[in-house]
Amino acid sequence: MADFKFFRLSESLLEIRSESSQPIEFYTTLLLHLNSHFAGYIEISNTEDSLIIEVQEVSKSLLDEIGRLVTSYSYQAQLSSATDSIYLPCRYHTDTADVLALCSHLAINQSQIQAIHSNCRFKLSMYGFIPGFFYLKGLDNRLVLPRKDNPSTNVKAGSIAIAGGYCAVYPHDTPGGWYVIGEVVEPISALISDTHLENGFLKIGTQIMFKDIVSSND
Amino acid sequence: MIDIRKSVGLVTLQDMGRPGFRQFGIPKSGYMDDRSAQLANQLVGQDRNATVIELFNASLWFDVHLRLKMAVTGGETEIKINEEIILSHESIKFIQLENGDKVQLRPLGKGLIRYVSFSRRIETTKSFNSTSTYINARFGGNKGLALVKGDKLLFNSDTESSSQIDTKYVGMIITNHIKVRFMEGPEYGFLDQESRKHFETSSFRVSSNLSRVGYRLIGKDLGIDRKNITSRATSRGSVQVPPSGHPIILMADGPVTGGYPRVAQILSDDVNYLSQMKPGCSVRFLKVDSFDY
Repeated sequence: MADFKFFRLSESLLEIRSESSQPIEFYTTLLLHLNSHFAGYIEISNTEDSLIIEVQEVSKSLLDEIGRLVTSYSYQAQLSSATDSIYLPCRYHTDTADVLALCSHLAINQSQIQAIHSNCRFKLSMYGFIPGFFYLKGLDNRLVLPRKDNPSTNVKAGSIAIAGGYCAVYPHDTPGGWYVIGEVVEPISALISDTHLENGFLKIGTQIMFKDIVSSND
Repeated sequence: MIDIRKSVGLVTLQDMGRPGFRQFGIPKSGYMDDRSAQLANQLVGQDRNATVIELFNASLWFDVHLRLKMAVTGGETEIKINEEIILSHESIKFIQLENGDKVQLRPLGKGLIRYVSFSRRIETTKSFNSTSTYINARFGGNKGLALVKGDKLLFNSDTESSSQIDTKYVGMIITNHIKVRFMEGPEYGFLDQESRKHFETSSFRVSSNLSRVGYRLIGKDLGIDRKNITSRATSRGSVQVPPSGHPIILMADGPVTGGYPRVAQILSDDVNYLSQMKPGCSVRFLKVDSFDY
């Protein structure tokens, strides 16, 4: 049985994490478990390694109740089902401040960044940050580095960025702390609208690769 | 109808926001300062959640083409009706506007944010259950955009709401120095011991880098563990400290997850006060127990 840690993030948010390392499916399944055994929440969501319960007020009695529910939860690993797979056409940046910083931090050159990145087979792990922003796992170890010391105040829509072991595409302009290495050719912000909320989004687990349109045209 | 003649700064439509869409990365948005916005609605007899105009470090000029009441709350404001400064909003509950009136609202003195409410409901469509404008992803309110010259606001033809006469005007007292209460965040321990002491005892200055997404503070550089964490949940009032050592406070349009250490969480009511701090104002952090405040 997993050992859970509860954290009252704010007056209305409760974070639950297992002390031991768990796959993301552990949390998505726990989410379903709580959805069917607990009422009165505003939203239950998950990140890669936590479950978030939003309620009007996180009280001690709520902690007790949730505590009982999660300890009755037992996770059984599921066989993964077939997943979608897509290519995102992109252009890699050269000689930008971010790319040059990466070369220096990672001790590699610009063309290596492009070659390594375009060979990564990513998997959509979760949504978060801003609307339509998805976290991609599967970044090659040679491209793993922490987020920027000081986040940029404006990252452009369509930017492909890496940090913290993730890769992502920024759906719209926003402040952000990751290193931008290129941009996608087609904007992904069109995915987000009231009417397409569920089916307009790429599914969790979708395999994604980036294809450099410049080098593939050569 | 009202007709926007001119706006300077960020003028948007907001309501209480859209909780419940974290799983899609959609922030709550809504009023930056719940307290002032809800008071504005109360003064004209509207629901607490009614759509208001938010002036974020902004001025607004508009013409009125119907008879209705207006209330202005939040930061100190110069209110001009037909070129005449009629009242400072502190002494009154609401202003009766007549068809043809020309209204000018301009920041004056303390406070960064103002709310303008009306005794009739503003006609606007909801995105994800809310009329709040979320500029970054362009949805909600005025088609996801700020209100600018030429925009028109239509009003519902319902009967006008009647003001609650017994509502006392208790606007927020805005000062240039505030103390905000915080609970330790999950990564509070990422601050080294000396930095935790600084965080709890020294004051920080609000920088000029502020938006509906977040406010950056300047103070003693805080020493923070640079170890990577996975991106985890954040919300309005979360204090993140990137390796630069300067705290960032997430506000209404702040992201729903982030990977910088979450060292603290400011109590929700205190975020209202903090949101009103202009660049240069000073902020101190007062620690409270997660359940005893």
